[in-house]
Amino acid sequence: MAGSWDRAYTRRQALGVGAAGAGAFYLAACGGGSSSSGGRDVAAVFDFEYAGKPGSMNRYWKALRDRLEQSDVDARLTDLAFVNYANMEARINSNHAARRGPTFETWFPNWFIYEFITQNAVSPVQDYVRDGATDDWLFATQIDGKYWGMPFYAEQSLLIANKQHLRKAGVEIGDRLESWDAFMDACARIKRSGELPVMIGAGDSFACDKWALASSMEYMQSVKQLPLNLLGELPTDEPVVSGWMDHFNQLHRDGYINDDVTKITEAQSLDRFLAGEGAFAMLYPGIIFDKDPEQFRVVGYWNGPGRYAAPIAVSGNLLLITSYGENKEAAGRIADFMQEPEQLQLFAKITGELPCNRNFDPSDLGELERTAWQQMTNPGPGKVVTWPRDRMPTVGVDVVFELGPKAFDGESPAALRKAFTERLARYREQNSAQMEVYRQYVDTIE
Amino acid sequence: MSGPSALLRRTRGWLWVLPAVALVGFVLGFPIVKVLQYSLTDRTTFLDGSFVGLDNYSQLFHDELFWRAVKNNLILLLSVPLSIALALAITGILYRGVRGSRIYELVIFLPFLPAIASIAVVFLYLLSDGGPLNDLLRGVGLGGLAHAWLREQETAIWSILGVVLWKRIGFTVLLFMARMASIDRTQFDAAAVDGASWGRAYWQVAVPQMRGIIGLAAVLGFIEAFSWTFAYIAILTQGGPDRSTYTLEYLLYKLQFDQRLVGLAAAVAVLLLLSAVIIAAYRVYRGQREAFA
Amino acid sequence: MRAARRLAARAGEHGFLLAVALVSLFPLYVMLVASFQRATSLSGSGLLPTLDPTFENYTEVWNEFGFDRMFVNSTILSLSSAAIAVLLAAGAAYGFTRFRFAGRGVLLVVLIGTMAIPPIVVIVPLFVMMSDLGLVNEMSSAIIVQAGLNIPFATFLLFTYMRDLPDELFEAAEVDGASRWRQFVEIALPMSVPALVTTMVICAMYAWNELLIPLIFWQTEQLATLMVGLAVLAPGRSGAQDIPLLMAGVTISVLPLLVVFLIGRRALVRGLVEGGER
Repeated sequence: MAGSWDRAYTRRQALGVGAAGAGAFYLAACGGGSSSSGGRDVAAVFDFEYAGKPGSMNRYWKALRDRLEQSDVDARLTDLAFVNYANMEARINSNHAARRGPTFETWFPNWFIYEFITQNAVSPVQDYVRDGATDDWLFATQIDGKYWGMPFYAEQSLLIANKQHLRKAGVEIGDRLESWDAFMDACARIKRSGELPVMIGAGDSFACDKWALASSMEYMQSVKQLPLNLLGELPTDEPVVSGWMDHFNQLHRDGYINDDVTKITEAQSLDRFLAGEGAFAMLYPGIIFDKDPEQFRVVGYWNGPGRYAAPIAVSGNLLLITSYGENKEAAGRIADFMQEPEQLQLFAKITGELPCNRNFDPSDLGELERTAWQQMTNPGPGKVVTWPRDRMPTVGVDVVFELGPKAFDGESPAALRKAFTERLARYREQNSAQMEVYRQYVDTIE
Repeated sequence: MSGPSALLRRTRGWLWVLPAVALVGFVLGFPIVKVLQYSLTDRTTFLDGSFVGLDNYSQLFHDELFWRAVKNNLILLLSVPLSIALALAITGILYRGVRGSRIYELVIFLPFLPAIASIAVVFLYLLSDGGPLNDLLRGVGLGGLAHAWLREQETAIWSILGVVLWKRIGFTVLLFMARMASIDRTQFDAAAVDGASWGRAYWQVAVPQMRGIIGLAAVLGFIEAFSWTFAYIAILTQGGPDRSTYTLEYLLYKLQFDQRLVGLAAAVAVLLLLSAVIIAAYRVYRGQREAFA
Repeated sequence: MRAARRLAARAGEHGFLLAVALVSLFPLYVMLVASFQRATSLSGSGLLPTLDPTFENYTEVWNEFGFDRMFVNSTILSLSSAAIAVLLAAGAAYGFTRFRFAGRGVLLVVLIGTMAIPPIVVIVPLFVMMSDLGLVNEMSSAIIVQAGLNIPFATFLLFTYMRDLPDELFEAAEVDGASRWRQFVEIALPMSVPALVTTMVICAMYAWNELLIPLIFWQTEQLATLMVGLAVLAPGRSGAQDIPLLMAGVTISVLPLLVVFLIGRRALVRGLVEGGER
C-alpha cells in the first residue's frame, strides 16, 4: 500500500492539477467572447498576404480602423482577423455553414463566389455602398446582373527587365514587347551578349501559372474560353489553352532560361534576379515596387491577337459582405470610406500594392508602380485586363502546376497536350455533378 | 462491505469511462457520423448530393493518385520502426547514465517542442537548393550529395520522412524514459551480478517490460504517419513535384477544400479512421492477451 | 582486454548520442542564425552566424500584435484543455484496466481510432454544432473541442501505463476493504505519476501548438492565440517570404514551451525518480 508520504504527494498533485484546470476554466467562463452592440460595429476576416512584407495586409486593416475611428463615418471596425491563405477556406466554409461570422470577408473573384451566392452566404455589395460607387471600380464583375464584391486589391503579375542587361545587349523595348517573336529576338541578343535572358524558378510551380497566364492572354478572345475547355467544349490545342506549352518548350530549347529552373522556388529565383541574374523575370508587385527604377523597369507582356492581350494580368480581389453578418449598412459605409482617395493612398502605401479604384492618384508612386498602374488602367486600344484562370476551379491551376515544370524541362508539347486533355477529361468524369453546376456558372458569364 | 447489485458491478466500469467517452462523443461523435453519412453521397460544398452507395470508395480505389498517396503514407510509416529502434538505443544509454545525460535528454527532446507548421517552414528553408544543408554538404566536401531535396521526385518523399523522423525521436525517447522510471532497478542489478553485460541486461530485462509502451509508440506513430502529416506536405511540397508526395490526408484536404468534393473527401476520412481502428484493435487485443494471460 | 573494449563501447555510445544531439539541434540552430540576419540580404551561408546581427526581426514580430493577450489565451487554452483531458482520461484508463464490462475492447479501440480523424474533416460540422449551441467565441468552445481531441491520446497513454501496474497491490487493497474509488486515488494515481505528468505536458504542448481549433472557434481578436497571431508570417500563396522574420516568429512561438519544459522537467524528473523508488 502506498506510504503516507506518497499519499500526501498524490493529493497535492491531484489538487494542483484540479486547481489549474478549475482556475483556467473559471477564467474561460468569465472572460472571452465579444458581442457587438449598436449598428456601427463591423468585423472582418481577410487574407491576401502574398507579396510584400508579411503582415502588411494586417497593418493596413489596423490603420484603416484607426482612420475610421477619427473620421465622422458612422461605422467602426472591430475584430479584425487575419487568416492565412492555407486556412482561409476552412474558416469561410465554417462560417458559411453555420451562418455566423464577420460581416466582411475577402476572396478572389473566382467561381467560388458563385457558390457563395447560391448558398446565400453573401449579399450583393451594391445594396450597401453609395449609388454610383460601382462606376469607379476598375474591375466590376457582375453575376446575375448584380455586383457581389468590391474589388479592392489589384494583385498583378508583371514582367520586369533588368535595364543594364538590356543596354548591354543593345535591346530597346517600348512600353511592351510587340510579340512573342520580338521577345525571343530580345532573348537571343541578350544571350549573345553573355547574360541569362530569363530567370525562372518553377520548383514550387507558382511561376508556371504566371508565365502560362501571359501566354493565354496573348490569344484570349473571351474569358469563357478556358472554362469551355474544362467543360470539354473547346479543344486543348487552341493556343489560348496550350500555347504556353510551346512557349515554355522554346525557352528551354533555345537555352534562354536557367538550368536549375525546376529545382529552385519562385522566391529563390526572384532573389537571384534582384541580385542581377537574368534579364527578364515575372513577379508580383510587392517585390519590385520599391526597387530602383534605374536598375529595373516594368515591360508589358508580349502582345498578341487576343482581346485580353493586355500588358499585365490583374485579378482584382474582392471584399465581400456576408449575408449573415451584423450591421451590413455600416459595412457599406466602411466600404465607401475605403474607396476615398486618401484611403486608397493608405492602401498603396502600406501594402505596396495597387487598389482598384479610378479615383486613385498615382502621382506619388514610384516609377515602376506608376507604370504598372498605367498598364492596368490603359491596357491599349481594344485591350482588356483579366486574370485568365480566375473563373476556373482549382483543377485549372493544378494542371498547369503539374505540367508546367515538365514543359520547362523540355517535354514535348504533344505529350503535354495529351496529358492535359486526359487529366481534365478524367476530372470531368469523376465530378459530373459538380460540372453541371459549373456549366450553369459559365452560362452566367457574359 | 455489502455487495453491490449485480447490475452495478457489471456497469461500474462504464461509469469510470463515461465522462471521457461522453466528451469525445460530443466533440467527435456527431461529426464522425456526419462524415460517414457524407461518404455515401456525392455531396459537394455546393450541393447536398444524393446517395451513391459505395461509389466514392470505388472511385478512390481506381484512382492512381489514391494509391500513390497510400504508398507515400507507407513510406512515412517507416518512421515508426526507425524511431522506435533509435529511441530504444538512446534510452538504454541514457538510463544507464552517461556524462551529460541531462543535457542530451534535453537536446534530443527539443524537436518535439515547435509546432509542425512552424518547424516545417524552417525545413523548407533548410532543404532548399541554396539552403544550409546543401551548404554544409558542400562545405565538408560532400557536394555530390547536394540535391534540391524537396523539388526532385526521387528525394522529396524521403526528405519528408527525414523531417517526420527528426520530430518524432525525442517524443519517443520521453515515453520510453518515463516507462523505464517505473521499472524496478533491482532487477537490473541482479542481472549485472549474474555477469550479464549492461546491453544484455537491458535487452532481456527492461525491453520486455516496455512492450506496452513500444506498442503505444507504434500505434501513435502509425496514426501520425497516416493522419497528422498534412502540415508537412502542405508546407514543404504542396503535394508536388508533380503530385508525387500526396498523402491521404493531403488528398483529403485537396478534395474537400480545393475541389469542394465533400463526399469523396469523407470517404478518404472513413478509410483513415478504419485503418487506425484496425491497428488499434490489433494492438489492444494483443496487449490484452499478454496482460491477462 | 575488457577495459579497452568497454572504453571503445563508451566512446561509441557518446559518439552516437552526440550525432543524434547534433542532428536534433541543426535545424534549430539554423533557425536561430537566420532570425538574427537582416531581411534585406540573405546572402552568405546560413550556417554561420552573421557578422552583423540584429534584433529587428524580433521587435518587428513583437510589435505586430498584442502579444500579452495572445500569451494569456494560449496558456488558458493549453492548461485547461490538458487538465480536463488528463482528468477524464485517467478515470477512463482506470476503468479500462481494472474493470471488465461489456464492449470494453471495442470501446477502447474505437476511442483510440478516433485519433486518426484529421481535424479538418470534422471542423465544419463541429463549428455548425457549436454555433447552434451559441458557444462560438465563448472560451469554452475551443477548450472543450481541444480536450475532446486530446482525450483519445491521453487515454491510450495512461491505459498503457496503468495496465502494467502490478495486480497484487490492487488485490491486497481489495482484501483490505478499500473501495474502487480509494484504490484509484491511493494506488493507481500515485503510481502513475510519471505518466500523468508526461501526459499533461504533452497534451498542453499539443494544445499550445494547435492552430486550426482556436482559429475557427475563437474568431475575435480578443481571443486570438499565439499560433493564430503568428500565422500572419506563414508562407503566402506565392511563397513570398521574409526568412529572417519568419524564423524570428517561429523562435518566439517555441520559447515559451522551452521555458515551461525546462521548469517542468524538474517536476518531471522528480516524478520519474519518486515514481521509480518503490
